[in-house]
Amino acid sequence: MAKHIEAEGGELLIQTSKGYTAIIPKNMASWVKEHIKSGNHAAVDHYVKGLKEVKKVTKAN
Amino acid sequence: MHNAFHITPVKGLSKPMEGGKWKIVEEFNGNSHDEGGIDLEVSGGYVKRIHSPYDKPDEIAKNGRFWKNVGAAAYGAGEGLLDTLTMGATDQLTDLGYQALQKAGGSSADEIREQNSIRGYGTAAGAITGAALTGGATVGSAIQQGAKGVGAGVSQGSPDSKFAQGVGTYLPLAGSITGMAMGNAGYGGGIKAATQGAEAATAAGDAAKAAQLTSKAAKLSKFSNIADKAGKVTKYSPLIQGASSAIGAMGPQQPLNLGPAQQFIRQATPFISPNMKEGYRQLGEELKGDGVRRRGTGGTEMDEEVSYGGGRGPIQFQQQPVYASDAYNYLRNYGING
Repeated sequence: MAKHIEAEGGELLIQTSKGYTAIIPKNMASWVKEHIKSGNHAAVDHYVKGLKEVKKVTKAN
Repeated sequence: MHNAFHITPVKGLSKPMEGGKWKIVEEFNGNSHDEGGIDLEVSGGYVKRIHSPYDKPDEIAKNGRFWKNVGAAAYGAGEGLLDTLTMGATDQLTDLGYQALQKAGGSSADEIREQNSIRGYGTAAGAITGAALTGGATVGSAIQQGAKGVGAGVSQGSPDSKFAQGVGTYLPLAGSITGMAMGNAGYGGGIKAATQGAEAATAAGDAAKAAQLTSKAAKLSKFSNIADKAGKVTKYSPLIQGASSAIGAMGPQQPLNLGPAQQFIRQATPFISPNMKEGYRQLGEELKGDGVRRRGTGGTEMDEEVSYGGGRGPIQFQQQPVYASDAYNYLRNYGING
């Protein structure tokens, strides 16, 4: 089922080739951008895993 | 029109997060949470902005959120019509797989009909593009050969072009979008289209072809004219890209005699869902006054509602892209659109 999520200006929407998507809060947006640009994807993995997970965003039927 | 961001297809549910490469899909501009925030609809295969001033969100993404993209929606079977086009274009999924994805994606009966019709359209339009590109096949046989062969034909037509090789797989999609947006193919010259084509080629990493594409992109100026008049060049840049790609791979311009194909496409696209129809209506409003509204062309009901800037030509079905922003992001994901 599709979910309605509220983001805000300044946040980042990122995705990985492994099939994950994340909304990065404002205060970490620059940090994440920097690490993506420098190719330090492992650091981004580590950070994103610490965020709260949105469950069941896929249509279930 | 809503923005939407398609997510990379992923099969299976258990891929670990580690080891992938992240990319920035969007930097949000808009209200803070205190000011109402930015409303997003999130599903397995997409994230799109929605206007929902009264609905309470399921979650407020304070301090960030993440989720997995899984299942059919990652292919757009449930949500993204342009991804559905790709299925027709690349033939990477069997019919059974396609249907299974639709079911898994929870598509409604209307959505399934729409996707099927669009899929058929995409295949047909891709094949038509191929007919023009190869310059040898008749339109009828090109349709029958399917889009997979078209992609190969494109690549074979320009064996020295890395850009054309890369584009070959996605050309049917580009051709479909171009066909839908243009309504006609192969008219006049367009400075902005040429400029966009050059930028596109450069962005695709084949600078050697940029100048050539620039010159050739001008040959598909009908689209450019529509885009220019509507002030939508940026919005439609992927469509220009598609046009320039087609021309770039094509070599000397071939006459486009697509009359029989028009009939085929009409038969292939009998179903238009209310949502899609509304998309046409909105886009038609945007383009109103930018061309000559023509009625009574023997078209569908859709033609009656949205038939602006048609000009003359063999393809007059005037299917405008409902999700132009989707097209842009979609092609960008594949490196076709910078």
